[in-house]
Amino acid sequence: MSWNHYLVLILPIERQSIGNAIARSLDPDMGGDQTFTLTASADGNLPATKTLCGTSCRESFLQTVQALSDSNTPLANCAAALKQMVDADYAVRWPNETAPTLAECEAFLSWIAVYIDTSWDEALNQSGLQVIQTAPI
Amino acid sequence: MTPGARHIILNPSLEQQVKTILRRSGGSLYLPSPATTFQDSAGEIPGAVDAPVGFLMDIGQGGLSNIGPNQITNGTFDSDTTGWTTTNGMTIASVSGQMQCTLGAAGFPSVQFALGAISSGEGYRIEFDYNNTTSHGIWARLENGTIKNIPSGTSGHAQILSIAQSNSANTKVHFMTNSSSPTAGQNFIIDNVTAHKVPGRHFYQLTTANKPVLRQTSGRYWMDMADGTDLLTMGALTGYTAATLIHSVLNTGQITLENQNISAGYSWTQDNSAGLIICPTAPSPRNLVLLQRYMSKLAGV
Repeated sequence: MSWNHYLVLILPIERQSIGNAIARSLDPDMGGDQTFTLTASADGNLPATKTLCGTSCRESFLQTVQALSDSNTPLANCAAALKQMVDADYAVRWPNETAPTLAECEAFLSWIAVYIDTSWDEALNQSGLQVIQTAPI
Repeated sequence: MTPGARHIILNPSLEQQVKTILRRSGGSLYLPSPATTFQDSAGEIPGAVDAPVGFLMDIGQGGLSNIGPNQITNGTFDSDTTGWTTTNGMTIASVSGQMQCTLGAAGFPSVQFALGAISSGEGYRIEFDYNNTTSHGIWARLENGTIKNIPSGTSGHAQILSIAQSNSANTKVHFMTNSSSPTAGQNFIIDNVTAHKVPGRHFYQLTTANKPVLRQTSGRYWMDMADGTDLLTMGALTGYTAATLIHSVLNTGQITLENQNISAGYSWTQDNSAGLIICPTAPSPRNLVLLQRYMSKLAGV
């Protein structure tokens, strides 16, 4: 299945650790806990107000994202679904890490901004953000 | 050669000249394509156009067509487990011509086979059969390398490319139960293990959101690193204190960076990359011109 979609995900900087804990389980590779490393602010200077990432994704992942962000579904139900997904992956791949709580999953869903098939530059423009430049990782 | 006939030397292609220069100088050549990339950092899922790049192979020294000998002298366990060692309470035995690995109660038990010194970016192609009947995941890898997770309750054959993320005086093929509190007495099976060194220094990226995406335009492959976090990485490159890097940037040309100290490691962030050459030391002026010409050609200019 092809990676024919592109997502930009933006979180308040205060949610960075929760975002990375959840991304650890959503990433099919081993480095999901480094997903939210880039930071941004309105003028590109410190202090950072947001953390963000851009990623290609498959149709199946996009459908998951759309289901979890469906405003017709109560937030509690979406959070429960996300918690179930995260728990299942943590049990198999990350048994020594503490999985995010239901409350953290709910906070993540209530705070995350998702741009679907919008370019990186356009998502930054629409959200009024500039990346804070740092040395490469 | 026929007696009396002239020895005719054909003019080698530019590509052949470049590969000869790099082979003789220990240089690296990175040409992203479905043949040289993998989507995952463990080198299992072949690369594809519009898919993320989790692994990019250095073909400067021949890549998979020039792998070293199998360094596992006892990978079939026909009669014993000679050469394999264990940590953290793991016990091993040859059972029906396979290695049965039984967990103790201590955290992260492992079984391993020593391979010798390795530098970051170097890697091995590791193959094995497995049957994980434990209730825990198993990490298969070089001890200091990129990881394949073998989930609980799975069996099959695996071929991975594990890349050293740091230098090691004696790395090992490593099968480790990924649990701080394993269920003592459970076991998993490993068999038919081989490990071949793949020459060169290879790039990887563990985080999907940070992976470049392989693209193809008018027949040319290139990597899309447009969103600010995308990069391929390599750990400490001991001795690379005055390296020459030549980037090929699609529709732009070559960009040469001379006398670069990348001994602490290198992160490749150049967007629209059609290729990269890394020479540990400065090439001769003539060779530099040839390398630059090749990278310009790759860029389509």
